[in-house]
Amino acid sequence: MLALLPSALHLDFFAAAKPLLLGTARVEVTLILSLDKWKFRVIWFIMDSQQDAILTGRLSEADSVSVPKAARALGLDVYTLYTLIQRDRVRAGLSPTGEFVIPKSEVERLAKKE
Amino acid sequence: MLKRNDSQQMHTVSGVQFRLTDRELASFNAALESIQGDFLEVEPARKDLNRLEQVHWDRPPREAFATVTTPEGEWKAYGQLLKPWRSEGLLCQRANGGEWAVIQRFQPHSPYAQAHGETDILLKGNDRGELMDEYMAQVRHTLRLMARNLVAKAQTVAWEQFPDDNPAKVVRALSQRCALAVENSESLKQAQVEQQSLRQSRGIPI
Repeated sequence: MLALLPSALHLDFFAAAKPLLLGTARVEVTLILSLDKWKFRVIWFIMDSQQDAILTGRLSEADSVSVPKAARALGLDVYTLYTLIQRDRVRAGLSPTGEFVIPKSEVERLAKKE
Repeated sequence: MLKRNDSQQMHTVSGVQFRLTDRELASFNAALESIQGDFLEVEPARKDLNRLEQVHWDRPPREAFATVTTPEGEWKAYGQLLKPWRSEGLLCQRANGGEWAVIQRFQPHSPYAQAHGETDILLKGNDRGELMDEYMAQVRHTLRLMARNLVAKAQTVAWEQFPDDNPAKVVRALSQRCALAVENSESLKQAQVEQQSLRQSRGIPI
């Protein structure tokens, strides 16, 4: 699959290595192109089944918190948290009733220093 | 099957393109009541956006009032664009002139700022007017996203508490009402007061 990509493109598939090596049951690849200072950067996101659920599926109440609750935990207001969701800085999913929710693991990740 | 009482009245609701029966209106009001608190989070941004839409961005900026430090260097802040409860959006220009940016600044002691830094550059560009147009479009989009979520929350009341009162129609009404509230900065509370007076004075018999 990598051979199909133009060599001039910068590839960052570091994140991809782990789930592939571990043989994750379901692996999906999303290709995102962004223009960054006249260079194209290609970033690969390998999503295991859990992340896939975050992006497209429904999250149970036990695994997630509402947007206002997540905002409070992070010291943000709700509006600001929505702007971060829109910019893919925060992963959000949908509750069974269709409301945006934030996985608890994501709130923990966001509150941790990288 | 819905039972229709001959004495039932139809009500016009501000921002909703169709009329609601007594029971549908009760469902609508209960659902709206459930998101009243959440809507308070939308209002400050909507009011700030209304203000920004009146500004002539082609005019020269006033003096810078603060210096903002980001990983990309120092910027001078010329205007506060949005001020939600716990962050602010600032219109900035590089300290040495030239490029403009919209920078989001978080409360320094918040867990998010501690982990990811106090500032985040949202947009950059050399044309201040274009930058602001894009920023305002983003704000509108965020507000619509918030409105969509308010409807998702409110609709559970219509389905769970008023399942026999045409919940799908009530949800459509909620959707139209929330969209209007976000577009026009009209609070949901105002809408409810209007509905109550309509109920008393403008009921139209079937």
